[in-house]
Amino acid sequence: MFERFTRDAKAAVSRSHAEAQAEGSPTIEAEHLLLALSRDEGPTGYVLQSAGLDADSIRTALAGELEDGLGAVGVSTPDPDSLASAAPAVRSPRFATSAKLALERSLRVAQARGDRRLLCGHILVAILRAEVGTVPRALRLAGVDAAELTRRAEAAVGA
Amino acid sequence: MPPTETATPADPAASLASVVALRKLADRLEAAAVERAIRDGWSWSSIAEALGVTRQAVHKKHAKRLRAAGVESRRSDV
Repeated sequence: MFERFTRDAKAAVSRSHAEAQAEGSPTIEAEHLLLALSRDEGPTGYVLQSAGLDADSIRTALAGELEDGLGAVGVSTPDPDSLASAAPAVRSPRFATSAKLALERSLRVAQARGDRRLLCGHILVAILRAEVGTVPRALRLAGVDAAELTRRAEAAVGA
Repeated sequence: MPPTETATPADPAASLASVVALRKLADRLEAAAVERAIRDGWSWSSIAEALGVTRQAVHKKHAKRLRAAGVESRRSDV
């Protein structure tokens, strides 16, 4: 699947693995890809950062989404200290459906545009294309204009 | 107000997001609780029984991670 990925896109995928691992998540989700893209040093990272989406603000948005989801069923978010673990590192988090879907969609985004190589920007456009799930909810709750962000991401891959 | 009145968001997207949020919270709680139990000298069998899963399942999920962090069970009958 990764043979068309540029070096930067491969690096982003590998950072998503590290993001999941650092968080102690047993799975790599679309949000870990988004966090990885926010650290990109090319145009895609710039699109996110200039929209105020650096890794910290994305994490804050994700925490807000979790709190909202729990709050909706009357569960308060526990104090992070009570969940602290000395052993958060899961050795090899695996790609979960949300991340797989984003990567599959990114291939289709590249294909539809006639691009032979898969760029970080294609992955971002693919992530933003999801209408439901953790990432779109987190961005909406954080007040991010996803449509505008998608336009900028598309422009960055050379619309 | 009875808890049932707050328990189900009307919007399917919100209900589904709550399921995901609860799973995430349960995973985090499990990781912290299993670690605490191992530190307190619980056997994998007892942890498994308390969680209602097989010993193999709980061991497979947590043992490597805890060993890597230097958290070992103090019991010999693990």
